Order: sequence, then C-alpha cells, then structure tokens
Amino acid sequence: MGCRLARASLVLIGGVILVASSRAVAAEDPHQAECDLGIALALEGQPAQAESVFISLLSHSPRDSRALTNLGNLHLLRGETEVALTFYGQAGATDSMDAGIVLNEATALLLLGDEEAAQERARLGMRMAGGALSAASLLGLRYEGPETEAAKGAERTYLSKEEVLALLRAAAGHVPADSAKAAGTAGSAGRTQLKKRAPVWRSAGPRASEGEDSAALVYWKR
Amino acid sequence: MGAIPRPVWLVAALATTFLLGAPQIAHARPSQQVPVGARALGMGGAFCSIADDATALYWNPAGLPFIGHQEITGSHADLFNSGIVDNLAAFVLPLSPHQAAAIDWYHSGFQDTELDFGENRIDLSYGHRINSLVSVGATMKYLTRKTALDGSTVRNGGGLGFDLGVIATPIDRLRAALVAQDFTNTKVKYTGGDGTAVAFPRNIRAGISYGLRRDLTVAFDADDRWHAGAEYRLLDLLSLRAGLQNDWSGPDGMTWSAGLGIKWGVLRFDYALVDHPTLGSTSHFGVTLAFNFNPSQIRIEKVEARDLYASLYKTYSRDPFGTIRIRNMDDSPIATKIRVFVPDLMSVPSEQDVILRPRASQEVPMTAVFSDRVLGERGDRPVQVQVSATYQSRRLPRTEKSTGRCVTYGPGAIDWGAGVSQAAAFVTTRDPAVDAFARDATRTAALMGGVSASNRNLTFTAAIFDALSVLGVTYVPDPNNPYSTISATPRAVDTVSYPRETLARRTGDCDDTSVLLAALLGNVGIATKLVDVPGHLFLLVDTGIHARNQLALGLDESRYVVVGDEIWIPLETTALGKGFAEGWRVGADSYAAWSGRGRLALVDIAEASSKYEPADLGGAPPSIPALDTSALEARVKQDLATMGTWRHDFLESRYGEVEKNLEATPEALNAVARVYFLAGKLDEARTTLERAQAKSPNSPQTRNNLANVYAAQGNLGPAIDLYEAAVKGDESDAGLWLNLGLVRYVSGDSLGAEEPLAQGVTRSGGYLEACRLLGLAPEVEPTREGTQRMTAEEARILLKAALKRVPRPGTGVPRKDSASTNAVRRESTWTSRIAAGRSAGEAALQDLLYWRER
Repeated sequence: MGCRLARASLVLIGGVILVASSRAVAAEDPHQAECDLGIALALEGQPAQAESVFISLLSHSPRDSRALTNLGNLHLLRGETEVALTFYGQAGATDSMDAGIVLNEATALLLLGDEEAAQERARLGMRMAGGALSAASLLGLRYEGPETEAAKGAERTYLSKEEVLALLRAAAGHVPADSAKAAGTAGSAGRTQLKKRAPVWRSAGPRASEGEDSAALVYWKR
Repeated sequence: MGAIPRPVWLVAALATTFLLGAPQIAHARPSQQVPVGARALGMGGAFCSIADDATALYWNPAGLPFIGHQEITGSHADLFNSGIVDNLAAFVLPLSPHQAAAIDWYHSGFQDTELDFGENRIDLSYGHRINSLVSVGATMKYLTRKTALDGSTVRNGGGLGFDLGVIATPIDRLRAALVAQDFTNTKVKYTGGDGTAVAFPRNIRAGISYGLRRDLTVAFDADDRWHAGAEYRLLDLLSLRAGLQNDWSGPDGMTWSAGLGIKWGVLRFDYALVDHPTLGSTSHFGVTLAFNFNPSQIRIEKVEARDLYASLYKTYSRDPFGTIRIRNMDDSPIATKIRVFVPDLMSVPSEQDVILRPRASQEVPMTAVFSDRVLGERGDRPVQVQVSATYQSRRLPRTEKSTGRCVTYGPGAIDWGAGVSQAAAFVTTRDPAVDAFARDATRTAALMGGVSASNRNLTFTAAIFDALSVLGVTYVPDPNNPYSTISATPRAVDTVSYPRETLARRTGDCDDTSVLLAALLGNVGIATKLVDVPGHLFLLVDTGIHARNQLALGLDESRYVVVGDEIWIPLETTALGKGFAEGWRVGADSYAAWSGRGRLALVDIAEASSKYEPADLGGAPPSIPALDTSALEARVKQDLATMGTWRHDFLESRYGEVEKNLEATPEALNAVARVYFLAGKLDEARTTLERAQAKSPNSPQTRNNLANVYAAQGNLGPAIDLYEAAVKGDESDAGLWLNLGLVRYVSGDSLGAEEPLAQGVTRSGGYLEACRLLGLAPEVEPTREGTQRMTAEEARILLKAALKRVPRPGTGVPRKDSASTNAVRRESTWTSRIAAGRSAGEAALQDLLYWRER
C-alpha cells in the first residue's frame, strides 16, 4: 500500500514537473511555434512560405539564430550556397555554441567544392556535438551504406547522405584522442560507431530512398 | 594465362587418353578371361571405373580402397547352360582408410564322363588411394590349368600374371579408370614338355562412370568390346541393373544383360542374366557379406527432428531443426563426421564435423541444406531423417547409422508458435512477379503530373497500396483458419500465401496481405516492420524521415510512430480497397489502441530476413493483369489530397494563430538584405530593401542600406540621393555621413565629399571610430579621385583629410593626423571570408560602406 502511494506520488510529482517545465519552455520561447511552422513548411517543400515565416520570426526576434540558420538552409536548398553560408555566419555569430550551424557550414562548403574547409568545419562541428553519432543525429542522418568519395570540384546542389557521412567520418579521424567528448570516435578514422542497417535488396526500378535532396540533411534549428 | 583447375585438367587428360586409346583397344587381341561378379555382369561389364566391391580384384584393383569394410563374396554361374561352371570366392580387407588388400580364388571347369577340364586362379591384390583424386592398384595372379581325358591327365601347367589399374575422381560423382589386365601376357608353362602358351593375352580396358543422381549410376567401358550399363538403387535396399555389350565390329549381335541386388542387413544377394546372341543366356548368382570386425566406439542414441516447414528450408542450413544425441564410449575424443539426409528433400547429405568428448553423451544440433525442390512438396507427410556418424575406428573408418521421423509441411505452412519473425521467409522481395508489380505502381506515381509530395516513401507506399486496390486485392479473413484463432493456438499450423500467390488470387488475410505489402515495399527500398498484436498483424512503414525532422510530416503525433531515430507510419491492410489514407488512419488507430494496452511487438522485416531468408520461388510467375494506370493515378491523387487535408488541418490547428500574426518588419528585411549584400547578391538585396522601403518609406536605415546597394551596383546618383535623404532623416548617424562623402568622392565630387566626411568623422568621435564604422584599418596610400573605384587606403586618406577639418574639442582648431596603427578587424565569419576577395587591395566600394543595422 505504502509502495503504491509512493509510486503514485512520484508519478504526480513527475507530471507536475513536466507540465511546469513545458510551460516554462513555452514562456521562455514565445516564438517556438513560429519556428516549427517554418521548418514544417520547408521540409514539406514550400520554401517561399517557409521563408516568410522565418522572416517573421526574425521580425519578432531580431538576430534570432534559428531564423538565420533556417533561412540559410532554404538558400542552400535553392542552390544559393554562398548566401546560405552568409546566413550561417550570421547565425553562428549569434550562437557560437551550436554544433548544428557549424555542420551546416561544412555541408555548404562541401557543396561549394571546398573539401578542405568543409572537413575542418565538420571536425569542429563533430567535436562540438560530442562525436560522430551526435553530429549525424543533428543532421537527421543514419548510416545506410558504403562510403562514397566526398564532393570534389564544381559546385553542386545535390549531396548524398553518404557524402556527408564520409565527411563526418573523415572529420572524426581528426578529432583528438584525448577529447573526452570524442571518445567514441577517437582513433577511428573511417570506422564510425554509426548504426549499420541490415542490407536490403532492391530492384533496379524506382527507389524511394534514392536521390534524396539535401532538405533532410541539413540541421534545422528549433 | 591463368592456371587451369586440377580436376578440369585431369578430366581433359583422361578423356583424351580414353578417346585416343579406344581405337587401339578396339584392335587389341580378344580377352580370354571370363568376367566375374553378378553385379558387374548385370551392368554389361561396364564396371572397371566402379569396382567398389570384392570383384575389384578382377575389374580394377584400384577400386579396393573405396570399399571401406571387410567383404566376403562368392559367385556361381553355369556358362551358357553348357555345363562349364564358373565359381569365385573373394575376401577384401581394408588396411587403412586409404589402403586395402584382397585375395580371391577363381575356378572354371567342365566335367563329364570323358572330359575333365579345370582352371584355377588365385589373385592377390593391393589398392592405394593416393589422394582424393587418384587411386592405384595391382594384382598378382597364379593360374593353373589341367585337362584330363577318361581319368588320365593330358595336360597340366601353371603360370604368373599381373594386372595394373588406376581410378581418377576428378569431380564429384565422376570416375574414370584405366586397367591393364595381364599386361605381361599371362602364360602357362605345361609340364611334360608341352611347352608354354599364352593363357590370357594383354587386355587394356578403359572406363568411365557418373552418378547422375545419388541413386542412379551409368557407366561405359571399352576394351576389345564396348560395354554400357546402369544401376539404380532404391532406398539402398534394392538395386536394378541393366547393360549391353558388343564387339566394336564383328558378326555377333548385341549381348543384353539385366540384374538385381537385394540388401538384407550385412548380406547382399545379386543376380544377373546375360543373354548372348548365339551361345544362349547365362544366370550369375552372387552373395556378399559386408562387415566390420572393429567394435563400435560411438553410438547414436537419439535422433530428434522437429517438423519441417518447406517455406523455412533456407533457415535449416543455419538454425537446427532437431538434435542428434551421440555417445562416445571410448576414453579419448573422437573426430566424427555427421551426415544428415532426408530422402526426396535433399540432393546430398549435409555434413558437419564434431569432436565427441570421451565417455560422454552430447547433443549435436541437426542442420541440413535442403534443395529448392522442397518447395514442390504438397500437403504434409511423414519423412525419415537419416543420420550417420563416420569416424576412424582404430585403423578403419566406421559408420554408425540411425534414423528419426518428422512431418514435413508444404510451402506456405507455418507454426506461429515459433514467432512472427518467420513471416519474413515469405517476404519474397526478389520475386519477378513482385518486382514487376512494384515497378509498375511506383513508375506510375513517379511520372504522375500535378502532384507534389515531399516524401517519396509516402508517395510510393500510397502508389503500391492503391495499386493493390486497383488490381482488386482485398482483405478476406481465412474462413477455416482465421489468424486470430490460429495464432493463439499452440502448435497449430497456419498457411501463409506467398506474395505472387496473393497477387494472383487477389484475396488474403492479414498475414498474406501484410507479407505482400512488405515484399512490394521492400522491392522499392522501403523498410517495413510487422506489428504483432493479439490475433492480428499489420505494418509499420518507414518514412525515411529522421525523428529530428518529424515536422517534415506536418501531422499530428498520433498518426506516426517513432522507432529508434526514425518516423514510421502504421498501415492496415484490412483497409485494402479503401485507399492508402484510410489504411494509414485505421493503422494509426490500431497502433494507438494496442500500444496503450502494452500488447504490441514489432518485427523488423530486414532483420528477420537475415534469419528467415525468403525462398527462391522457381517456375514462371503467375500472370497478373496490367495495372489500370489512370485508375491508379486517380486513387493516388485522392490519397495525397487527403494527406494534404490532414496536414492543412494540423498546421491550422497548431499554427493557425502563428500564421495570422506573420509579419515582415523593415528591420528584419534589412537584416536579410544585408546577408544578400554580403554574399554579393545585390539584386536580391535591392528587392528585399525595396520591400522594406514600401513598409517604411522614410526609414533612414532602409534608405542608407538601399543606397549602399545602388552604390555597389554603380548607380551613384540614386545612391547619393538616398544618402542625402537618409542624412536628413537622422543627422546624428555618422555612418550615413561617411557613406555620403565616400560616394560623392567616388562619383568625382571631391569637394562635395569633404563636408559629409568631416561630419562623419566628427559625429563618429574621431578618425579611429570612423575607420571602425567602415571596417577599415588606418594606413596611408595615394588617391584615385573620380575613378568610380576606391581602395581602403583611399578611404583612409579621405578620412584623414576630413579629420584635418574637424576642430579639436574646445579649441575650434582642426586636429592633426592622429592615425593609429591599431588594426580594426571585422568580425571573423564566413561572411567576411566571402567578402575577403573584394576587400583586399582592389576592394569594391560596397566593402567600405557603412550598413545600418537598426
């Protein structure tokens, strides 16, 4: 009986804390819904509407790093990589601790063909994120297949997941071994701890997971 | 040149020898030895490459090591019913796994009241299997002949002879042989001065045999005649043989033969009837005793086989379907080769090597590689599982045998008691029927116009689900064995249809349709999970969306499930025919209901397939009608529209208020325009600022920034106008003055530039601050007035010159140049990296202009 009472009390306290904390978050961040709407529209493939929402967010919350990052993402998806980089730069100046922004910069630099700078940023981003897994998670990635060569040469608007993963792997190889955060990847160049999926046979016909654009590969800041 | 594999090389060499040797053999002198053995003669004498019984002494001593046990044999015949008797007794003794010795006594004779003729022969043979490819053997014979007439010896003599033989086994089930019988021309030296005569002239014989199946062997021999024969063994109990032989050329016709063998324990009885075209027929009788005097060291105590399900046949090569309990009765470990064989369901026995612990009984898992023909099984029937354990008993190999029984079920049968994961064995993603249907459906969706769906997984899933509806595939509960009942009944056997069967039949219960949908989706690379709830199955379909990006769906959380880091949607095949959106809705409701009760389990198809590998269905896929693509397009569009409505409703309910309050303030537009400006996208910057100006026409911020864009584009006149307007709007902002001065200077109006520059330096608080406002480091260089371009150094000089016109505080005297060497650096961002190319040396004007942020 006592045990049940204690359990019920714990559940009640937990619930109260949860409600209180969610209210606190809502109170702290009145523009979260605006940000979410923009991301939803962007991911659904309505960049113009998403841009309006992010500009509105910027109107209500000047220099908001979420708005700047996500506006950068929209331009990245349009192929305006330099504009995207500028937005990321502005966002990074506002929130220099966000690993996702740095990883987005790495992605954009890779698309520009600046592999060296991309690796440097990815390395920094992974270190800030706390390892390859966390970095991949920030980008909404999962391991799916073998590595492919990282982007080289001319500018492109298409970037495969494998390329970003290869980039992250290469970056992981340069994370110092004594970095406590990077312990999971230390000394494991090319050997990530990412979860590997069981191989699935697919026909030579249309494939659902192929040709994915970069929309899901960038970090959408919430 | 690449190396030729040894077996191939050997086969080629033997075939060449055989073909080149045949003509010589054909022209050799006729053999005068009487062939022996009812088994060999039943096969027409095509036996020199088989030679795996005690008659190997005659046919080919190289066959002795293949016998593998002790064997005593005896045979008798009355040749052509002429009174000439023919008797043989032989004994084989294996010396080691690769060596064997043998001895025989052969007698042939005729006896009546006047004539008494007799021939006796003793043969001693040795065979050695050199390696897995080659075996050799030799025979030494001593021959005596005696002829008596009316009780008096007329002729009596004896002599030695030799045979040599070789057998090659280049590939499994193929043997080739070459034998030189009496290669020294076996002679008999008669006593009493009757001289010497060749009793058996040299005879070269070549042969080849091949096991067409495990129970059927065909053979061909060539010496002075050709011989062809075959032997069919039925369950190792009964053997049927047939053969024929003839001269390569000659007047005689074909000699036919037939025979049979019956095995009864250690005994084998053989009979052969040889029908000579002119001399008549001969019956040959034989009896053989095969045994092994070595005491058994191991014992197969129990063979326990579980029921076999044809659909899981691939699984049994890794996952045991039973156990064999074997006892080692010896004091030392014994290496044992265990063979498992299920007649009719397997082509060859499956083998595994185990080490048996001394004086212990151990369970050995029973695995087996079943052939594809197991899929031809129909219904269920009991089968015998044959198990043998072969080991080295002292000097000789010894085999213990046992059998077990189980029931085999035809394709489709399954016992859910072993888990729902088994369903993965039916997800035949590679089936051509599945492949064709999935391609048709997804191609239609991919080429469909007027539809924008951001998630390909969802679009393709909708296309495949709706394609099934268009085809007419519907959910129909199994009236005899409803899944809800059978899945809850222990050891009850259910039937699951393969996807091609469900496509052809167009009906199926929840397991059939879920398996079908999983296979079709798997074919286009969409992962699925089976949702196992009491009495029912449905699917989760991978959206390919990471949990972090769940907003991409834009749907209420009740419509999807996060498993791991990914978003999955529940899909209920009971709603086939009602459309994808309805299937999704019903699936989501079911998932929520069962999840709330905590009675839900997920089976990942990809993971389960690695254990329960899908079958390779042979045969032609069933004919499936072509898809009505226009009907499919209509359904998919309807579903996507429904999903759009869900999305709209969700966004409306959650973000409706937000959408109402959207705005774009001039400040925000200025911030965005600044990014465009820094990235060199001047047109976009101008457009954005024009939007801002439309909202706030008199804003000094927007005027200044828009002027910056005009200046950067070379439109200096409009830029100057805007700067002047901006300065009027806010005279206190030093940056506006500086911009005006700089642009006037660049336009060639150096006099007009002095005043605003001086104002800018004064209002900014000095030269250094003015430099900082423009992002400049103070240094000195010559000027290029009126060139429409300006370097950073020119700007500095201008500022210094302007500084001279600024009175010292409190004195009214212009101050001296107080340039500092302290570098003023811009914020180090990627923005500045991009601008870096323009800010060095040949800097564009735009890099020097002051951008007002508020």
